[in-house]
Amino acid sequence: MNATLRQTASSMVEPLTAHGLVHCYEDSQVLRGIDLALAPGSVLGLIGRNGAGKSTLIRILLGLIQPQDGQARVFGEPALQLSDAAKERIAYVPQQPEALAWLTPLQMFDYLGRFYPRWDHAFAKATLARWQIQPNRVMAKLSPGERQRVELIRALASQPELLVLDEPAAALDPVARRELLREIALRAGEAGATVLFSTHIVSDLERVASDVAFLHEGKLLLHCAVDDTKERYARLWLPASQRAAAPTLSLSRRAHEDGSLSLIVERNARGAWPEAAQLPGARIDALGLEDLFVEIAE
Amino acid sequence: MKLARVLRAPWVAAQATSARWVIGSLLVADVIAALMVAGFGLDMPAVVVLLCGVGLLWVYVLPQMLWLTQAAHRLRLPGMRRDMNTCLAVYALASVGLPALLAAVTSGQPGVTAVLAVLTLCACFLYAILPWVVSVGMCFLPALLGQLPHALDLPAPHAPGFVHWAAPLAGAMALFALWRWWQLQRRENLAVRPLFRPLALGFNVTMIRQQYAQGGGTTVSHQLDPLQLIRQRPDWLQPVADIHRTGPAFPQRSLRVALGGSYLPQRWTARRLSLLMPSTITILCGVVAIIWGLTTPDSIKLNFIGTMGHALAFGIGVVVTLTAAIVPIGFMNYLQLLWCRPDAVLPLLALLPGMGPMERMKHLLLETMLARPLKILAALWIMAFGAGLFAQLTVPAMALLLSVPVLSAGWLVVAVTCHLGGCLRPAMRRVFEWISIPALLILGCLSAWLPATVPTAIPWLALAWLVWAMLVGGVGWHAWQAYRVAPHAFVWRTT
Repeated sequence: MNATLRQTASSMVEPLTAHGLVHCYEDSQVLRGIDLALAPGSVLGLIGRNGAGKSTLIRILLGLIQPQDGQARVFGEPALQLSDAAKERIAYVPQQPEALAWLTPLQMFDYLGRFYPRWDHAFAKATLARWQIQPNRVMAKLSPGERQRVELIRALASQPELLVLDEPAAALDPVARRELLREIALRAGEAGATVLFSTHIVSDLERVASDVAFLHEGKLLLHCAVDDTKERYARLWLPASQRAAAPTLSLSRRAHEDGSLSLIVERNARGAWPEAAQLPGARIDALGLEDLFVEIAE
Repeated sequence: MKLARVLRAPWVAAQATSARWVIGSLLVADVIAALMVAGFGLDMPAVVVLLCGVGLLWVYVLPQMLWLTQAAHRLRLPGMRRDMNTCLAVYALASVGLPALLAAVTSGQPGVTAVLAVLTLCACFLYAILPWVVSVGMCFLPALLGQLPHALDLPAPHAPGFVHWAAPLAGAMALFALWRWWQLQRRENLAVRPLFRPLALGFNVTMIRQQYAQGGGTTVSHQLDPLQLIRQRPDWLQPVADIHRTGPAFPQRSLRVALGGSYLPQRWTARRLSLLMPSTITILCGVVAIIWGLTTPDSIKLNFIGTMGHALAFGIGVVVTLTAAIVPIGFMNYLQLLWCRPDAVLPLLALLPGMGPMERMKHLLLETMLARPLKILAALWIMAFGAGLFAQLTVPAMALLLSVPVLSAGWLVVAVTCHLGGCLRPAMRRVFEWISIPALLILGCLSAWLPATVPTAIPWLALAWLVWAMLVGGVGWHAWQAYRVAPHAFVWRTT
């Protein structure tokens, strides 16, 4: 009974949380006070331009970088002081995996399988064969795409409750990418795993993510359900004559040569667009996720 | 104006800023010291001091153009090779001309000085651009050259006939250096065969580390990274990892598998053994021959061979001591390369379950990282002891010789702790490395051969070691404090 209660309690703990994360490299501030929480079972797609700080954020969330300020927690534990029990529940695939490159895929699975109590040897071997990766070739000699797929198998074989993928599709061909997305959806849907992945490919995100977070200039500009973005955000176009009435709160603001103005705006708590949308000549355009990303990032 | 740009090339081509400052300051200090010594009327010592600067220039600065050569060759940049050759020619003229000029003004022996300068220049340049295995062998040269004039009855530099035998030797060395440089300029990839890689490519560790951290694409530094070396090695020469006895029950061995490189537990396949056996047997035969030559003087009738035997014993001492100084630096460089890549070993080890609390992991990691190099240093200590016995060193000289592996071990402990704990900012860490590493190498080398030839130098060497140990010890204390409070050992820090 107690064990069941403990299990329920632990599964209710948010897999990843961050409060006020601040980090900078030598001459540039990368993260400016990030707050983030991942609900159990959700699939969060982290999106942002090159150098936006996605990888840094992921590394801080997992305790691989010590932030200058703020705190990250994994399954309720401080990310920098994870216990073995927490680590068993996590799998992370970095952007350019290079660890254990002196082993063959089979050796790596054999080696890592000893550390993870729920390691699925059969899955690892079968997927390796299905993805046609040479099992006895030293990993340093595999192509970047093959190397990334081996890492994905490694991550999935440990049957994690939290799967974190940093640009997992970067080196994959379309077929492998589709298989990866299917696998993510499967893990999240059937096993209830929580997934965080960063990407540039908006179509991937639309296909599998339940939530999206947009990181821009060190801040999380939006964090909501993917299905809500179309309803919640839009482009407000104001003619030059109405420019002065533009709302002060907006996700992005772009002035055109003819004096008109484009803004990305959000519905307020009552579900209404800003008042400026009612002005004569003003126009509200619904945006797809990719257009929304481009409008904000440009 | 173009000449000025060309002359700046070796300085800006590959050296890190801190390295430029250190070497530049040393060169300026060397010229000032030479002028001051000349001012006191000590003509030959002034020339010797100036030649030290020439040596520094031709070991550390000019061979760095190899980086530029490789980049220019890959990018097919026109005119670059000509510019670099012009640069070398101008520096060579200055390196020979300035000491000769100083000698002409003071001692009136510009010819002898010019020949000495060419010999210094060529020896130093060849040391940096020859395959590193040959360069290590060149450590025998000071001992051999010191004995050669006596053995072959050749006139010393201050004797009248010196130029007659030294000038042709200098010419031959210059031609050899030119041929080697010409050859290197046309090589596509200098790092393909690690044994034949010029020593100069390993000098610029900072640059290697920075480019490796950025996942550098086509530069030489990228080819020096551990993964690239695995890729370039043929399958039959690939070390076969032995992953037996790994897992949570065997944390140290598991860590060794994760660290790779020299730490990796390996299975010795028959093919690899067959490759290693002949070289091992050859080396052993050489050692036995030397021991036999030294311990049976009646059988050796020629004074020349006897002298060479002693020189070889010195040489072995120098090589062993230098190796003792180089081994920890090599291990440290490898670990720094591993730690500077955020996607390499750090995430794997930071998130690997079953290794216990982070505090335990910190101690385990330190033990694992140090165990292997310390065993090698212990073996070198025994070899140095043997070489010291054969060279019949005095007790103080022997003590100095044997202190080198011990102090190297101390440096390694401090450097690894400092690296893991991140106690120094990157700039300060470079300053520490730039002071402690050259001092370790120079003092190590001097401790190997100076006490036997100049016994009065022993107290000064001991004092220098003491100062060095205090510096390293001070950093070590801070490193240990920082490592103790670090959240874990796998935090990624920018280089």
